[in-house]
Amino acid sequence: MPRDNANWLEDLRSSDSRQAGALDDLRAMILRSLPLALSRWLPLDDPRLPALADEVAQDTLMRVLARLDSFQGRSKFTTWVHAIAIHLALSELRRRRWRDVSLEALLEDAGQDDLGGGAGPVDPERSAVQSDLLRHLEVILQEELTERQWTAMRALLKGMPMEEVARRMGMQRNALYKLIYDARLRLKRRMAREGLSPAELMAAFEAE
Amino acid sequence: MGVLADLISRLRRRRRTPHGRTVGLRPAQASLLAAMAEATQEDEVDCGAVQTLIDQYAEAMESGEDAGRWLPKLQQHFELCGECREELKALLHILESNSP
Repeated sequence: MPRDNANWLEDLRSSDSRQAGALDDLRAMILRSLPLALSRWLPLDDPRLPALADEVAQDTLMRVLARLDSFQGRSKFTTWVHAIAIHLALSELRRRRWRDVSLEALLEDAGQDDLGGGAGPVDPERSAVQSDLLRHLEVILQEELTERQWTAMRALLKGMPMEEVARRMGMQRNALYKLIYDARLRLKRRMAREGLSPAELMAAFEAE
Repeated sequence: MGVLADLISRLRRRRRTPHGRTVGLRPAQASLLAAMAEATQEDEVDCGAVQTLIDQYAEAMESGEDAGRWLPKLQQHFELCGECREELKALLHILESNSP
């Protein structure tokens, strides 16, 4: 018989076989759903999937038990559990994808200006405008962002996930989010003071 | 190019010379930074706050509610944070596959 939220909480808080039964059912649910949830990142027949799902299911159950009191009851309990499992699974996939990439290696080729790249002919006037805009934006970035903020921003712009940047900078993901948020806000306010509209900038750099 | 020329003209009146550390900004990065600046709000929620509400948000979306109207700060966060957005999509995928 399917459990409702109250049943799940009661069974998981019990000290008898009901807890074991509830954990087994949650584990089975996670193992069924996780491959589908991760199908954008791993094909269903990927040989790494069973071991990953197993590891994530175990970590999820531990986290669920530890955080049972934080469940607010405003969603289905199973949805809450799925959210935890997905967070853990995607964090692990990102860690594995980026584990051999150092921050230094990622950022070391960021010094080249690639204006004029691409297959088509370059419009000299457009190129000159872009070059001027880039220089002004560089001044703004130098004056408004700390070294740490700019390092983090560059890493994120090159596609490194926030959690991975945070790990390499010795921070929690939330703390990095706040660091980047402060940087974005400074950038936005400074651009507004300079009369530099984000929409104008995006239009200037959009592909022809 | 008239609008851009006007923009450059305005900026040249405030001409400064880059100093200090090398930035080496690329056009694609500049465009992304501009998009980030445009999307930035004075008051945002962080990933931790999103994690506590993502289950409710996903269920609201799955049931056809306008979750963004109910939790606008989460919607704004998902526009800016690729990782939280990926987690929301994965969760929706499960909910949609489980719905009758």
